[in-house]
Amino acid sequence: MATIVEKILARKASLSTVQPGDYVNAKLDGVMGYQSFVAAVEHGLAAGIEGGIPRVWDPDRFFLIVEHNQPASSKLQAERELKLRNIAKRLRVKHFYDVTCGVCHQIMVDKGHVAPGELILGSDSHTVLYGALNAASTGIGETELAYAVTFGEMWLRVPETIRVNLHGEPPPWPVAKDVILWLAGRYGADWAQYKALEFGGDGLFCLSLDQRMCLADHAVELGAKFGVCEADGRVLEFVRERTDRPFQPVAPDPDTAYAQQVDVDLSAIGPQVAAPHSFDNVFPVEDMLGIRIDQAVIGSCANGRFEDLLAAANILRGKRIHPDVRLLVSPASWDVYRQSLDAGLPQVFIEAGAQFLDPGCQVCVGYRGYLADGEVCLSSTTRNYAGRMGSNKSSVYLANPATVAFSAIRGCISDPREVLLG
Amino acid sequence: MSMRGRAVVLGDDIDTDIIAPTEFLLAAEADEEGMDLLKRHAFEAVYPGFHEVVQSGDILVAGRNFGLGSHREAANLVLSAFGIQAVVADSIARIYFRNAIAIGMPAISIPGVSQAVGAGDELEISLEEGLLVNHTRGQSWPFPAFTGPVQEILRAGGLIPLMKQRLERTSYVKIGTRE
Repeated sequence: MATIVEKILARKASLSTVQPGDYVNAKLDGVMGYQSFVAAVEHGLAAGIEGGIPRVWDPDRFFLIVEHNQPASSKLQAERELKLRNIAKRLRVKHFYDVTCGVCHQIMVDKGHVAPGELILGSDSHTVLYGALNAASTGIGETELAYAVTFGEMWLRVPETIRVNLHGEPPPWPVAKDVILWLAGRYGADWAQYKALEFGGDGLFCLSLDQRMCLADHAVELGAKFGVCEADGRVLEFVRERTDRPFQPVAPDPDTAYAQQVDVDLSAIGPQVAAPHSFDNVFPVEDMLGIRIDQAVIGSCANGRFEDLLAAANILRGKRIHPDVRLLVSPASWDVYRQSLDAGLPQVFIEAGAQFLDPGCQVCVGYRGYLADGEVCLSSTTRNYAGRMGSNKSSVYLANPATVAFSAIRGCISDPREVLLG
Repeated sequence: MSMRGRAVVLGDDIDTDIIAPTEFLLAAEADEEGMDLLKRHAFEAVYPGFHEVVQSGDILVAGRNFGLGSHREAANLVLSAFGIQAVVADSIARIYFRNAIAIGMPAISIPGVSQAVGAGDELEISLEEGLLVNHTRGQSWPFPAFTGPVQEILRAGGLIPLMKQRLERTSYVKIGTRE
């Protein structure tokens, strides 16, 4: 009678069962850090711990990625990268990804560092993405990162679980974004605060892994601690192609009591738009038509995967984006970049007048494509908070990649069903 | 542990981009001067001039879902840099809560509290008892006292001091040295 997360936490804490509200000390299967790992080391140094972080508990399970600012574009960034490389050498970090990487979370799944049933922590809020592969994963800060890397364990409070049952045929666009936005609009950005979201149902298995990663990734935008999906053959195949370490998928018991259960009909959900400046300020695209945009962005851990780029390219093929709009496209990783190259997508984007950028987090956090006062951006990235992508006097609307691409052509927020459903 | 301080009050849905805007994060991480720069911009999207209003020893009171968004610890550390003693909110986003505890700052959720505290009210918090007292309005708000690891970490002054204690108790072979 346990949920996926309860089963994983019980297993990692060597307990037969756990209940929501229990504190456990759980053994970790993986820990992910990026450039802010420098801060974790410096916290230790400030406390007089030799080396800041004296050791990595298990070299096979720590993943360090030069990421969020690469390549460095300022003295501060360059100095931090240099510190990170030196730390990686001193700690002999085995899984160290330098310049040819991308968004840290995409690296983690691309390179086989996530497997079903695992418990993984990372110093980034979107660490929840790994839930798409049936792992329990969540974000921590740099102080906890220092502890996790040193001891390979962490205190966790067992969360209640909300079950989201997906049903029906998905429409012909990356609908995961719309599912999450719809849930946020209906239940609010703190709906799943301190809780786990568990996704399942026949509709889930109709979604590609790219889509499931969007679902899990955005669990944090609903406040969730974990966003974990049931596993199917596609998950097992994806992971087995990338690692030969053993793993054990976890399914919930059939008679599990959830804190709440919600049913979502994928065939009934249209494109959604989150208006500034909160993720739960959501409207159907029909209510947002005609809002003029200056910039459009496709990328990030939310919607920077191959299927997202393909959906956008299919809309842009043979078209030109509006002369007053800048469209930025950034694949989530070099693996996605290569897939896109093989499929001829960069050419489509370039001929449409878009900028096809290198992979990374920059477009999502305003390190690139910084918005000036009063500018409006329509984006498939993770967040639309005030100042998220530049000036706090700019506006960010969020939507799925098809909506973003079609709106970039029109110069204003538009409904992609006009072309997708012909 | 108990503390007394003046309330500085914010609204609902204060995300970490509002608390600590991205463009000042690296500077804040690098040195004290950078943290001063972040302090001048903290909360400015919703509360311009916050840095001039807040005083060392204050208790921050906020509405729903305080600290939602990214994991950036600078959004917690900047409160310490202001000398803020504790955060009390209607609700607190989970990573923000964890980071607060990890750096040794009490973060307390009391639904409805933001409506019952005005800017400048004199507050007192007893962590052991689980009680917030608003001396200005003569009101008391109980909350579940911290237990388990949260209590242990706060008592130690944060997770890094605990880590240090644990390392000192453990013998280990240092990786990467010839000693």
